[in-house]
Amino acid sequence: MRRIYLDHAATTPVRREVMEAMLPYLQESFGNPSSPHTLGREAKEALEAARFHVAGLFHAEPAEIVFTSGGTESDNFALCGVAWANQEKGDHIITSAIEHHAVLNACKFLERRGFAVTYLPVDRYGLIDPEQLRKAIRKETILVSIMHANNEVGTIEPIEEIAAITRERGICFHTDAVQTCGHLSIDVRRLQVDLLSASAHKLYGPKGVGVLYVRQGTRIVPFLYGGEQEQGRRASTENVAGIVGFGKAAKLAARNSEEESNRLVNLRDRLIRGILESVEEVRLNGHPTKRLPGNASVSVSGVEGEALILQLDMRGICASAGSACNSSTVEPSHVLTAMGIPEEAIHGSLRLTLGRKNLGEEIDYVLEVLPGIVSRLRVGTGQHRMGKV
Amino acid sequence: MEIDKDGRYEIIVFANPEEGAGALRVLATERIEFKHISTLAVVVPADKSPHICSLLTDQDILIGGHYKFLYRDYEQDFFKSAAVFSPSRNDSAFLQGITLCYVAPCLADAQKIRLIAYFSCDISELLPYLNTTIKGATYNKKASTLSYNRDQAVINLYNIKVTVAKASDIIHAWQLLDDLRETINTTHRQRDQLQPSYEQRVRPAPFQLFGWLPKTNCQACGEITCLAFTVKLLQGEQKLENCPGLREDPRYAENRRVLEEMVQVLGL
Repeated sequence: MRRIYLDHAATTPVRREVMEAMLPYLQESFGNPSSPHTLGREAKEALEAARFHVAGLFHAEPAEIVFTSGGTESDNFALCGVAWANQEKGDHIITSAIEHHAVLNACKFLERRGFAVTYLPVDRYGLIDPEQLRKAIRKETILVSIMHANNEVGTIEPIEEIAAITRERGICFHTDAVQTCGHLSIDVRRLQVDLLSASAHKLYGPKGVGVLYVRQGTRIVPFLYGGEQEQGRRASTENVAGIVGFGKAAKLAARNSEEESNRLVNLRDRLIRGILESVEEVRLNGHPTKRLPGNASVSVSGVEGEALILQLDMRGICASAGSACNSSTVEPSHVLTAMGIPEEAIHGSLRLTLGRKNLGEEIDYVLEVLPGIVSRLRVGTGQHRMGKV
Repeated sequence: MEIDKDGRYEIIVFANPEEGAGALRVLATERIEFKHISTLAVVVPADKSPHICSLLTDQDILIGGHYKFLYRDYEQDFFKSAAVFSPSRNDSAFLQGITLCYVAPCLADAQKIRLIAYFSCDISELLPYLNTTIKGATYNKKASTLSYNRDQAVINLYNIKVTVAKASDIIHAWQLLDDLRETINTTHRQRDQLQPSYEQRVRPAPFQLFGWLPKTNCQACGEITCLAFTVKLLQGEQKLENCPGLREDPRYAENRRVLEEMVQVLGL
């Protein structure tokens, strides 16, 4: 059966060139980068070359790059590392209500350890108001963490304005750029960001490797203790093959970012327009223009997001529901709830995220089958009869 | 098709008995090999499952879900209970039917299943009455939801839908939904005589049970300690009646009353 992958916000396939770059470091060049012999030195060189390319992705210095095990570790490291390093200075952290759980749950942990956290609200598009952030700042504020773009609805936050405020007030600013790194151009110097998280598997690299950019001079305590790897900021033998793959993926992403993002924007808008025109009782989630190039997130009333995913899957289409269904209850998405979307619409949320291999004909196929699936589910579950839609 | 103990199979679940009947017709016409479970589900070889699901979908059959079939002791129990099980239908009743739109393995325990199903009518006005008739239910007036536990499964009722988590298998899930339909219809018939309840009961923390036990560690129930008895009780492997202290000693009469209430609320 033909498979159409439209879940690139969840993960992306490893590019062939990336896999080929990684293989030697799983085979003949297996040395530990801390070893002084030939094999160790080979691994060390590959590691530093990868660091150079990953740093280049957001215009950082290689020395400001700390490799981690992924986006979650980078977020946890940034939040906890800055909180512990600055607890003498203050105990207040500002974040938003729509952050990834890697940030939100780290904040919840810090709250239990005596820190105060302000969760900024968002408007109906999922945008943060920088003025509200300015008002939330106290003299005890030590860290602001606002994501670059939201993973569910794709809204791009005004981080440049936010960074200008934090810089003016001398507060450390972290941004979770897991969804944007390699897809939008990022310049940490120009943006004046102090810490930035990214992950390799969202840009056609392998899973299990991420990065935390730490601006020189930022006060942060390590998250892992042990050896002197990553300049003592992150102990543990490096995931050499993974990091090499990240480096290769970063190099490839830097090459074609703008052209690719224009193509994705066109495909995305064609998909969004098509869905809004062909499906009744549907709404776009997130901002119409300030959104990630590949993100089409909608809410279809009168159907269950999980049911839509299942029916699309049987037609060969891999998509994602906005809301996560855990084992005991169907929890509505915290992002859509914060945006003030009615609960009924939240349960019917559908996220389609495009990537480099998607073609126009695949979008046409989705638009061909989706309206039928929605009306079949509405009729089959009696939603039409009940007058819900 | 015979089920081979070491084979890999999937269960395909249909949205309701009508969809199931339609599916069986398609499978027969297309000469597809399958093991009949009931009008609600079939077992097929795992490698053929995507193809069969896509074929049925093309024929406009609504599939509720498909997931890995676990052999367990199923030859005797599962197929036997499945064969005799058929959800009743009464077109003149308030709630005519329930349609499954999503079935998948539980996230917490892949041996169990979770599902989402839709009612054929809006039951929100009935929720306070169900809060009276369903023993141990927790009603949330603000969110308009009612939750309760039955044989280890967790059931949440909303205005037009129900979610079930931790059902043992699809037949168990259908039994739970069938019982629910019956309860909803009985409650609807008798609603004039019933006192609606808007009370939001507080679920006890599971280990609060331990506090009300005699704590003599007498071992008469077969467990080493009263704490071990609590754990077994929570897992559904022990019953309050097996505690002789509670059963016979008048000093524990009050404890027994409290425990019985807790056990009911926890759905044990």
